[in-house]
Amino acid sequence: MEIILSTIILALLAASFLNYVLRIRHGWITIIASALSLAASLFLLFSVQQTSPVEYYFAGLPGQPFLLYANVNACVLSITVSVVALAIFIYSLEYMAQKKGKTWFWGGISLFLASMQLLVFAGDWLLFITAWEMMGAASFLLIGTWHEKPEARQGAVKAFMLTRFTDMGLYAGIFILILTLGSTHITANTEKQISTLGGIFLLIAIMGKSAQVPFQSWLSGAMAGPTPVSALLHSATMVAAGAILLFRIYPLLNEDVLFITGIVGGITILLTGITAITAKDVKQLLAASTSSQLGFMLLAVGAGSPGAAFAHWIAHAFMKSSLFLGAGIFQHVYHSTAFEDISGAGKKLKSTFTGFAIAAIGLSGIPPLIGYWSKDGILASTSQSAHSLLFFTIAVAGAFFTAIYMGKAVNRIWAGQENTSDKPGLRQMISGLFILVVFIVAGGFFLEPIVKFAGYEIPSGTLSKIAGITAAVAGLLAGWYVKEKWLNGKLWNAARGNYQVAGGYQKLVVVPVLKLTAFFYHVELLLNVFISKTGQSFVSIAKLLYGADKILNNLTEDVGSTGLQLSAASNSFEENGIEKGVYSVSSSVKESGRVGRKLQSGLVHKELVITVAGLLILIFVLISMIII
Amino acid sequence: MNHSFPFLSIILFLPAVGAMLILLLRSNLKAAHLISMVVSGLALLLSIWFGINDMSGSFSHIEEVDWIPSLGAAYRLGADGISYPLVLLSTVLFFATIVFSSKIEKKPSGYFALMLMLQTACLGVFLSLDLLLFYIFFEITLVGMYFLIAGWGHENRKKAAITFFIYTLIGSLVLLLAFLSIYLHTTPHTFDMRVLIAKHSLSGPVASLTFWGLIIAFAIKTPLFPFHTWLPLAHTEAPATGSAILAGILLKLGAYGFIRFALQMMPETFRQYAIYIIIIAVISAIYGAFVAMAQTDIKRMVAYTSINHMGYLVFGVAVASVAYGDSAIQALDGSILQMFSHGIVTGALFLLIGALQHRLTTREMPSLHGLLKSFPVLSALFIIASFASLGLPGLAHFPAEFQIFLGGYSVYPIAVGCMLIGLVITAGLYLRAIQMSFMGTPDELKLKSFHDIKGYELWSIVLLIILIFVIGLYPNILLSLIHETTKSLSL
Repeated sequence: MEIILSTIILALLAASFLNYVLRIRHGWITIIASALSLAASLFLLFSVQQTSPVEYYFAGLPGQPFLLYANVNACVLSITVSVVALAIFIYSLEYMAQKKGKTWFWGGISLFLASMQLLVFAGDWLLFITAWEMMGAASFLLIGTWHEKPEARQGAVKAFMLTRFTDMGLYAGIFILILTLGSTHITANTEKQISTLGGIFLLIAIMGKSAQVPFQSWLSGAMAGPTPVSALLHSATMVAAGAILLFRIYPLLNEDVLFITGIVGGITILLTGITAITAKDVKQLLAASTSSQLGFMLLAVGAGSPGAAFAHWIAHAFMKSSLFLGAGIFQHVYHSTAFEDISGAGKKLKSTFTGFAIAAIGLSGIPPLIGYWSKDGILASTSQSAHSLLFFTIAVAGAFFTAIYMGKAVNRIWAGQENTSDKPGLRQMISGLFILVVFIVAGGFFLEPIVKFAGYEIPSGTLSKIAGITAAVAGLLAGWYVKEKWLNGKLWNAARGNYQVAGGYQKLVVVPVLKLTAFFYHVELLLNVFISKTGQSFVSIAKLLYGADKILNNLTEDVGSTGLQLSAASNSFEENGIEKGVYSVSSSVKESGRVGRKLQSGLVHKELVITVAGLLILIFVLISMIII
Repeated sequence: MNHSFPFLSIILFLPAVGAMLILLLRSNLKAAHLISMVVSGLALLLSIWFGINDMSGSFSHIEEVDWIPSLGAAYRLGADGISYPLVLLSTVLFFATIVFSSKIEKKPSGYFALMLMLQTACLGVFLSLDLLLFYIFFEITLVGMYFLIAGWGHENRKKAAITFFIYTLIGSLVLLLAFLSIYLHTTPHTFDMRVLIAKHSLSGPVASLTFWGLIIAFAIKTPLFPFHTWLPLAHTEAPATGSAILAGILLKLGAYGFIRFALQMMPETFRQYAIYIIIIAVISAIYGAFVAMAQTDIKRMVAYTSINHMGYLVFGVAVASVAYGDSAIQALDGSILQMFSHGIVTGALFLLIGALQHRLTTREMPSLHGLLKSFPVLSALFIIASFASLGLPGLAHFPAEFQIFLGGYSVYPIAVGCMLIGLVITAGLYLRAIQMSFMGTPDELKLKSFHDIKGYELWSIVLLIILIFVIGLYPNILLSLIHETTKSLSL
């Protein structure tokens, strides 16, 4: 079983290695590897279902070995990740065929998927951090695939830096966790709870990775990468990793932290929901919607139902990746993602539009598609929670917003005059899309048993069903008829620009850091001046002593090179003044150069003789000092 | 294996013999390079073999020959889990830099002889179990590095070499005084480090003075804020291999001193003053990161990150002095592993920058663009090494830093919190460098040649990169040896 478990991750790592190191840059390698990985996950699921979970200890730190841990829950997550990724890879073969950066893309995406699988099966916190950060690094490389474009470079750096910043919360949280539980195992001892502070630290890490307010802006920057990267990043990996962390730590969180989690999720649902409604670009709309949907998962966990969040995790993975793949096909044909440019595209690319629309309706929460079941679970969980009034209101409003922006996206792509444009071969891309759409349509019937199988309950209720369907239908209609000119004005523009409070990331983070940097560098320069001045005063003392020495006798000459250097230094300081003194004691010592040249001129055996002679003198001095 | 066989002495003097051979034969570049590679490769294999077969928790394979019996000084060698990683690091890094040096045009025989002498000196420092012997080797490294910078450095090499020399010489003099104080206050007088470690004989104001003498000496060498100003200058002017050795090994002399002398010989005094050391370490970690961020010269930037990493390291040692039980051992394990990790990561970075400098007209990052396109292999290796340096899990620095922080969190959570900021800043500065100079479209005016890295240059760095992965993914390969020793220390 350990071999099967390792295969899931190693196959993908091997694909990455082949691409990166051996430069065999072909998509089929990655596809075969991920198919192998999927087969292994399926096999593993059937065997852990019958027997106990598989545990595999290896390497690690003294007393804290790494642990791969596979139970039904992890296998379900892994299979979802694999299926979504496989469909995206099939799509990518055609998408990347004419594009540059194949090594970056295929190597990076294999590494990225390998880290996600590692994260899913991580059984101890050390391995979890490893997978988490590896994924961050891989996402940096992937977003930077087309690094000739400045926005790709900036997007890549911003994504890595923002998540790296919030990852410090993960570090601190995990330190607290390990010290509280006395174990590095993720599944260990669920009776204890960690402190509120520890919970908040971990929550910060989740907020960064899952792009929750106020850390949501990296997601829209990440759009500069290829579409398949966005599709994967926004669905079953990266942002999804934050939610997985939340599932793993849920039993350890106390009431306060859960409430804060719910509030963070709620704020994100509403704010990024509005951003999505105002978006003028289909990819920006989808990016904002990702934050918003992840917000639903936080809200559900905050309401005390990880089951509903888990269901939405699976459903969202299929729906969001379909939406991105659809948007990518429009982009491929029209070379743009702005609604202006792709309006009417649906009439021309009918099958793509069908897939896109099914996913959009699913995300809005219309039965019997998969999104209805998971959203219903979330609505029910909030209505049954301790803060039902607050959470339920937010959830219904969020569902309404979701339906509005999805309705708007579908409308913008369908309505309007179609632009005449060539229709390149799209068969593979469309088949990648439809693999996922099948899951959206059929998955609704299997979602609840699968979630139960993974050890969770999905709550349900009549009130939530009525509210959910009403919100979805009303929202879709509103979205269909919403006019762009209604969405102008200061507040709407602020929402569209991801709420750049006081200048956003640039002004709030980058500028202060650069100011601090300048301050520290200033201190460094002052320190250098101080030390060079100190050095100079020593040199003058040495010069005085040297003068006194010379009057007594010429002893100094015998002492050796140090005296010579010091005296030479003093001379040249007089000649050149102290204007060059910023860097070092001897920055202006030209004379010492002469000494140095003399020392290292000629053949090296001379240098060695000097070295040995110096040593002998040193030993002599030492011994004489001690004996005296 | 037969314990009377002078195994350590052979590792120690093999490079020196190689140096003699090169000088005697007056070898040209090719011959000198070959001899050096063979000799340092042999030393590497021997030290690996030694690690596999002959290591235990306490000092193993002790060699002792009387030298000045009336003083209690002797030729004493031995290795334990604290010094062995450094011995291995020295042999690995010298081998890599010597392999890398296939294009030395200026006095090749002198260069290789000097490198090998320097290797013997570095190994001597880590293998000595005698204060006097330690001090002598310590001084030779200083002299050797001086000549390496002064002879084979860049434009302002003389100035840099002298600054380096004077600065560290001041440190050595303080160190000598501290050593003599330790010697004179132990009865019977002895230079045997094992006895000194067992006895902890200093107390009162003498102990405090001696302790601070040691701290200043090693803080200059490590270096810690505010004694670090020699480091950037030396690195800017030193040749690439010199920088790799300087940052990779010579800085560890200071770090090793912190553990071996300050922590092991005077633990009570260390505990008493630990808070000050921690403050200095935290300042160094943050200060080093921020000042590195301010640099535009890529080599100076990497040089300043060393101060940051050494801050983490010394923090770990200080934590080991105050914490109890597992936390202390964990922090010390981390610190010792950090020495090795920093050696290979920074060594690789400096060699890569050396290879870059060979191909470019400038080292200023704002005027470099698109290196990834011009030199894909070199840039890819640089990106891996910088990810390692910023502490990415799966690469060499992470297991070390994680243990230091985890061990430290139980006693000084706020200090750890401050140092986590350092982690973010280092990530920022490396990513900025990658974004600015490696990504984008190339600027061909700044390139001297279009050859990507290959041959000796490539494989020497690939060796280090592989090690970075090995330590990152399977740290236990070294940690088990380290842990064997640290858990037997009474911390």
